[in-house]
Amino acid sequence: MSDKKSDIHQDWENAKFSMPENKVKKKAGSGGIPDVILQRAEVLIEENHHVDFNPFAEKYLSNIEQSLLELIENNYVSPKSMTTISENIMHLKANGGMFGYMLVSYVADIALNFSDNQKIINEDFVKIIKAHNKTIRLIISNKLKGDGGNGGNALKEEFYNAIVRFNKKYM
Amino acid sequence: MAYEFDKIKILVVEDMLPILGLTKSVLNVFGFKNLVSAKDGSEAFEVFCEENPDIVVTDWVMEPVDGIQLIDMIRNDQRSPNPYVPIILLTGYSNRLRVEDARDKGITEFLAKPYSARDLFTRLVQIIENPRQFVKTKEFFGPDRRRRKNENFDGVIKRHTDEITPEQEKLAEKIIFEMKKDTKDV
Repeated sequence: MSDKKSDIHQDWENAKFSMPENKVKKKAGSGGIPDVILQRAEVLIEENHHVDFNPFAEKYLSNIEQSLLELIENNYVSPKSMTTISENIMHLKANGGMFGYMLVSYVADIALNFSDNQKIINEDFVKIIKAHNKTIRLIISNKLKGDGGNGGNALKEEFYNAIVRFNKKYM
Repeated sequence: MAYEFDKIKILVVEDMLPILGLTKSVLNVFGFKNLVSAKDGSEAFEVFCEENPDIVVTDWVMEPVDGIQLIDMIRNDQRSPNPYVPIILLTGYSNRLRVEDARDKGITEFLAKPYSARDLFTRLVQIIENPRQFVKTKEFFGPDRRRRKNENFDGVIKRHTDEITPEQEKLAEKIIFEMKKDTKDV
């Protein structure tokens, strides 16, 4: 056993367990909530279109592009730039769907799985992230709300295939 | 009979104001009337100490103090009025390493964004009906990171695919064409 494993084993041997009082249950009681309430809350999110997502998206996209420039300037070695790229792709993924752009979330999710902890960083990596940015801009500027239907599925597949080609080329 | 959420106080922490407003509105529709909020982890800890909420719902990535640092303060700072408070972490990160990282920092529940109202409600129900025991070791204080399976959990109903117009289909094709052009050399 490694030292680290024996440290963890020792740590758990000395673990103390406790069950705090369930104050939330005491206050809430039981019984759930009517489905109509859940549906009303769901509609609130699905119809959250009155806030313009474009300025937020543009900020994240610009941050990504600035970091791509820094990455290239530093010969593709810049952990700080990579962190910024992943973080801003994450923001697009997290928030696109909350503003009615579910397809933005889907495309950004594919990009996030690609960029987060990515070890192969080169010109092709930059091409893929730039393609991601262009796609997000096109979706938002053309107000392609929702998940894009069959077209949206084809778009996700095409982007995913570009990443598969990248992985086959470099791994 | 139904849950009485009006007696419960929730602290919502989110730096993106429209999402903060939306989350509070969703909680309000569920029946929570006692909502307090903050725009980053630093402000949130002040509010937490002052208001002593029953539940905390917090975003992860914020500045200058993020959600993970906030959770650390809630669980381990001497000033914390309730280190056992249930905490739901909201984030766009959803890969296994990130989830494990968050879990190891002391969260109670994890909710990936974008979330549906049903997803959020499911996490709240877990807190009410399936609370976690707490573990204290030299290295960690927080909810037990293991959870037994809840046999009665039905899961979340998936969002169905939207219907789109022929114009939108054409638009999607145009976007695909652009993407193919940009990645053909990869």
